Amino acid sequence: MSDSAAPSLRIPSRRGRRAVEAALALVLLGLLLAAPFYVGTEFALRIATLCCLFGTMSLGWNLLGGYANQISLGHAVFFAVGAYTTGLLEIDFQVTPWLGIPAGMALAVLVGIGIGIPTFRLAGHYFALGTLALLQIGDILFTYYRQFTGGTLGLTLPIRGYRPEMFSFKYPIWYFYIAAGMMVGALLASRLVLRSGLGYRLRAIKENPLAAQLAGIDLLRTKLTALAVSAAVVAAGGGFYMQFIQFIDPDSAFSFQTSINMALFAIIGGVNSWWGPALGAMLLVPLSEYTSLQLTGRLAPLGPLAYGLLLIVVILLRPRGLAEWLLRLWERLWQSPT
Amino acid sequence: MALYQALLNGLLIGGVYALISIGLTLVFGVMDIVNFAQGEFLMIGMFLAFFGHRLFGLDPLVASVGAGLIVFALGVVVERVVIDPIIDAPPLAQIFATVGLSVVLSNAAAAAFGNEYHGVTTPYGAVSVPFLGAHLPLSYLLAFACAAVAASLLYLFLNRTDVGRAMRATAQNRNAAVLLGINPRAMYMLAFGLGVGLAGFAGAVILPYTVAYPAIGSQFVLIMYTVVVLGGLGSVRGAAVAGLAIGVIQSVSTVFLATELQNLVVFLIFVAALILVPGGVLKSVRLRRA
Amino acid sequence: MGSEHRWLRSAGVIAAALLVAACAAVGTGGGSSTAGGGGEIAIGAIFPLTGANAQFGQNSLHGVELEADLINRQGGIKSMGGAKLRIVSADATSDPTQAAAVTSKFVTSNKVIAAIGMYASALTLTSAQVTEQAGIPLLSTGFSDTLTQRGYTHFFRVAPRASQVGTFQLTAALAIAKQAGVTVKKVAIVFENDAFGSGTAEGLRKAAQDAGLDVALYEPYAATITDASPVASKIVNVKPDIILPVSYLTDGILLVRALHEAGNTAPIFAGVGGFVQPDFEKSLGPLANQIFTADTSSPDAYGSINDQYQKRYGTFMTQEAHDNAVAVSIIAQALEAHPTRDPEQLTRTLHSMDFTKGLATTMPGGHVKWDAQGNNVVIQPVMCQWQNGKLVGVYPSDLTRGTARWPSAA
Repeated sequence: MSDSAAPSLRIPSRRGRRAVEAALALVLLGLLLAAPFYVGTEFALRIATLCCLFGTMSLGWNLLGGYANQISLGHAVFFAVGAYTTGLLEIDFQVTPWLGIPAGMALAVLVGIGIGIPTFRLAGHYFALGTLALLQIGDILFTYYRQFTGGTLGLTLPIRGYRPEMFSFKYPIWYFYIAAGMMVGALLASRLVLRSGLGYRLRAIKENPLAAQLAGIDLLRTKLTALAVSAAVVAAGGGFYMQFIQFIDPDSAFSFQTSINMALFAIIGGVNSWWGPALGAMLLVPLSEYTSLQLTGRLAPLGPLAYGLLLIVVILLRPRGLAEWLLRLWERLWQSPT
Repeated sequence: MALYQALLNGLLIGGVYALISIGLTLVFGVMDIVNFAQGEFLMIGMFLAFFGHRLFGLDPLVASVGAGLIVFALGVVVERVVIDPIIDAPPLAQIFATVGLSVVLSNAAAAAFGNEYHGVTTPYGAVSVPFLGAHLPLSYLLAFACAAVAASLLYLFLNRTDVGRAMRATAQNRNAAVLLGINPRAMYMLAFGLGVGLAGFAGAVILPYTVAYPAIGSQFVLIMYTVVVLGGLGSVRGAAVAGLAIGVIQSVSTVFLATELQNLVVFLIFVAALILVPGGVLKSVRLRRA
Repeated sequence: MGSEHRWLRSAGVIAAALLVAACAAVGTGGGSSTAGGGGEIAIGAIFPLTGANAQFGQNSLHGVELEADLINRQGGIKSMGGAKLRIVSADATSDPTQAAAVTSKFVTSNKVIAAIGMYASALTLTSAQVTEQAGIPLLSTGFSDTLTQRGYTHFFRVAPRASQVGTFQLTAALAIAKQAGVTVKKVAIVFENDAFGSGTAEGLRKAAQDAGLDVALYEPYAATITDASPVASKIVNVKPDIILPVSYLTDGILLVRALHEAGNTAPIFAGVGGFVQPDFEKSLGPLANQIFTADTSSPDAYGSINDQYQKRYGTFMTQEAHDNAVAVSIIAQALEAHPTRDPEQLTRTLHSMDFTKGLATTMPGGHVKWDAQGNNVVIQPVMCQWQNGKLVGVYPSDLTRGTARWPSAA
């Protein structure tokens, strides 16, 4: 990044560039918050809400998968914890989701730490496989212990009228703003982690775990911290999902598809950036909803198939994701023409 | 008595698990890649056998050879296009390339054949053979026999043929193999093709006692990985023994536990094995030194 | 990467984008449409057309379309100027969350006066919430008792309740055993673990306990099971006098085969689901012979519509095809009696009328009437038996015409 440049038509100073970037961020934020007013239909608003939800969860996944290179294929476990906790607290104990969702987040952190301690010394494939197994184990247990979880019949929130104190809103616009708020929160958290000491340590671990260890970084503690934040973010998403969709069962909670999607959006958007996963979600969620509208019946699998192809193509051609490519373009914009 | 029956059943099913997992471990041993799409190649083999039966009246066991060969060819193509570019890539790329592959294959099958279940009726489909006080389902017995034959052929290939030995050499030390004049990329194509071809063959062989549908790959995936990790990633002999063991464990656990918990024991063993024994419980003859 | 890779890279990205766009552009619209004009009344038909329940969903849709066609050919809704019924269909898929999403999309983009769906309890449980909130009456064959326990006012179950089916499954089996001079002391209950199986099995267990029987096995299993030998082994090991499965099609077929392999001799009394399907008999051949199964209506009593169905679709009219066709007939009768285009008005009519004409007469009991919760208070299940390739109603004698044959020991 050049501090100042030779004669150029563009604003050369670092501070000036920062100002432009900040303005850009504000514009995008404005676009996001104004969405309900230009998306048109209720259905489109629903898609926008899902975009924000998946953006949040993908950002959460990336804290561990992208920043620390601990690739989790079973991250939906935290989603499930979040969804079931808020659902069960509300149905069995009439606890408001405003408390239930944070409870789910706390529980997910505990679960995450419990999982992380024994498994974090496993590298690459092994850790991924392990998280996959945990996903299946969760599915089996939640199906079997039906007296607690409702089993395959799942949990359905009763029709309880529109009570904001119970997280039940008449107008979908409220759900959108809560989801958007969550995503903005996740973006800020993501940025904060990236630029903090934690982020620095995570990147060191990603580059070369042995060297990082020799440099004095406590691998386990660093990774556990990332996992804790990651689990909390994804669990928040799960809790919101429960309130928005009003139904959860082991199949949709412990879903491999959801796990892959979190990773997919992050990979396509860019694993090394703090906003990449959100970009990935913003692009791909509307695409998948739109295609599932168009493709019905026997053609329906073509949508996920295109996703799989996209994933492969991105891995082969541009494994760092869109964010890095966009950043490079942005860089070139700021370089002096000479 | 029930235990005895379950034990025998488990051994028979375990034979098939062993065969599929041998394919998986072969790929890892030679190429250092965990193929998350292995289950989908099994599924393709099943569908090939299904259509062989539906269109040509071929018995799945007969069609299994053809199915295996077709899947082998498919594997070679896939290796060139998808796997080869990521051989030396970081884990993120490797994992998600094969995950993407698995998504593509299962959805392609769903679009082509529909999500419904496809089963075949064979003359031996509901017959059992009395054996030492228990009765062995004939379809299990035949599947086991085919798996055993395939595994033996593989053993001969790896140990008695030049090509097989070249493949093992590549697994042990790629650079040394290159110096010896072995073409590693040819070995990769062969290994991957063989690895998934075995899964395709296995799919055809189990069709008589189960049903084909596009998502069935995911049902076998975790079992395969459990076998491979237990036997040691890269060890063919380990996968064989572990396959039988997992088959027995799964079968015996259904005697004591609810049917719904059938796989719980297996998965718990898997997680335990991952944490405690990353090198594999069986550290005997390995394709690749750690 | 050298420059020769750059074009490959760009080409790849463009190809991927084109593929995704092509997928988006291709394909038919998902059942969206505008409401019929003055001469049409739109009825929604949301069934699982893909996935594990596809066969049942398609049969249901066929039944609905056939009956609508027949009604239209006879002049449509005469009290509304001969308005024709138009069936608008959508694929619920076989996943409960998806079904709700599809129903949600459907009701916001289609103006229908009523909906019929979604065949399976699991799918109906999530979707009924949507139709209830949208104020559209839903007529369904979903068994699950929960459907009428949620306080819905727009839900109408055409079929019997799951607990009712379960209870009947047992009491009928006992009655048939008594007729054959056989004493039943021990039973084995196995069921697929979603709403359909669980609800029916609950009824089975309670009835068995009330009758003082020993429930030697009460085992749920996942409907996606690919190998039924473990379940069959469990059953055979407890040596039951009768076996009471509640299954869909594939698991049912696998179970019967596995039981045969395991040397089972106990008679089987199943609870609807896959056991009443033509494909069940086709796949199992002689193995299916003499198996009993409860049914919501007896195929040999459907009358002429069975022949029409056979002619059009090639197999006998199955339970779900028939019962969903009855739903169409009932809607037509309701509109005929109280013409309206308002879903709320139709709902009131459905609650208040006793449906004694048309296809409703081929339901056991001869007519259909609902209570305030949406339970069909007239219907009783019947017990059928596969006899030489045909599904014959055998019990109770006042609702059926066949004779039960107790299976001879194998």
